[in-house]
Amino acid sequence: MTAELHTLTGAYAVDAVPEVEAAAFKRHLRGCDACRQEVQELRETAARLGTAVTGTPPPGLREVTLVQVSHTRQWPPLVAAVRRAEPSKKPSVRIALWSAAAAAVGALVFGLATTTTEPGADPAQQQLASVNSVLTAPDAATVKGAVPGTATVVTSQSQGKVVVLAGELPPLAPGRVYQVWLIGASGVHSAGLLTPDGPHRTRPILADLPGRIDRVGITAEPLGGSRTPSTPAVAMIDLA
Amino acid sequence: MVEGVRTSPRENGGTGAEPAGASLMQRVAAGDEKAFADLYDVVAGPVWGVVNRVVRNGTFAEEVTQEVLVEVWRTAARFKPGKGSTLAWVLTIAHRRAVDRVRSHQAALDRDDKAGRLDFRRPFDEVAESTIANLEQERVRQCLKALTDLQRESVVLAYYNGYTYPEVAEVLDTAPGTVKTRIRDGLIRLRDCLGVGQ
Repeated sequence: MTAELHTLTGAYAVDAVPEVEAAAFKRHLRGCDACRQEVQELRETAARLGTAVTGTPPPGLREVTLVQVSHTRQWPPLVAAVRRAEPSKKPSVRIALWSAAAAAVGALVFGLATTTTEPGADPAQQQLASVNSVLTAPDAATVKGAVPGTATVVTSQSQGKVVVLAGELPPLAPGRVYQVWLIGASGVHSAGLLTPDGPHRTRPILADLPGRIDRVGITAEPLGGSRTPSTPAVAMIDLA
Repeated sequence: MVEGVRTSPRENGGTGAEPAGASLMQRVAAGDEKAFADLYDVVAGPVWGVVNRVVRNGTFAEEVTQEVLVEVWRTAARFKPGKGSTLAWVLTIAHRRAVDRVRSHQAALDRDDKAGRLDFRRPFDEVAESTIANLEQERVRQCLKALTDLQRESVVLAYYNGYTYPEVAEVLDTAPGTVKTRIRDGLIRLRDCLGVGQ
């Protein structure tokens, strides 16, 4: 290790090294245990600067993050044996593995024009961008319903949209599907069907607001949904 | 499935949240969404704090915070407990993403207005004072006070403003090489003052 390079550990630990120099230092790090150790310690130190400014995240962020996570594939761990077996391979094994993971995900979402750099991008994620903008609208109003399971309704008058997040609803009888209804002065409007997305999850529903709504109801309907509710509501969320 | 995974006290890194954090990470890495919700409650505040401090724009900060937390979920299996605390790992991702965001934004601004390169940036004194005045943790504040002025200014501008060391040097009218070593010296002194890794 050269003394000159070693003094970069501090700046590197706080992401203060310009890109080109950082790439060179990263290569240097691979062969320098002492540097890696120091970078790690200084990152732990920098984290304390971070916790010193702990804040309160915006309301709604938790909800939308948890929903996005439920639609995001996890990457496998880097396997030590693979790394040892090919130490001098030119493009780093780490990159190779990442590309392989990205390619695997890409294969799953074939045929989709993905507009983000997220390897896990899928239609749900594109919808999430819209869901996100409702959840983060300045006038977003959130109501959590005490229903069997969980239901959260977020309305934004400025965007004219409503988002319904539901989970852990009671199991449905065969041939049935949950349908969400927006109930207000102008009557009862379907917001759409809750699409299962795992054993206890559904995809978020995004719908246009039909004027002012007072309540949101969930009913079990025949597959394909109904024009008007045909069964008693399993859940009713009062927005007033 | 992951019961019995030992959390060594060495991983503690001096943060009170850690013992829960480390075992949580094992479950998150195994795809447990409920564990991730718990992890969110532990780390979202610090992540938001760091990102908001660096980005200084509520909309950007919210996007970046969400990106960070999704990345934590996605790459949880690559977290190595032996190599540091969960919180440091998460905040390293958070700082990196926040810095990337302000730098790409700045690059766009610079393309639009080459002449106005540093104009939008606030004078250092204002930034440093408000940052330090708002620090919640007295201990960090005290330890920052123990640094030399140049060490403290360099560390604060690099970490909280997301400046590169040549940018810090420009703002402080000092040689880049000097700033580079001051950031390291400052962080080492902070490390020892805070007892990190002991």
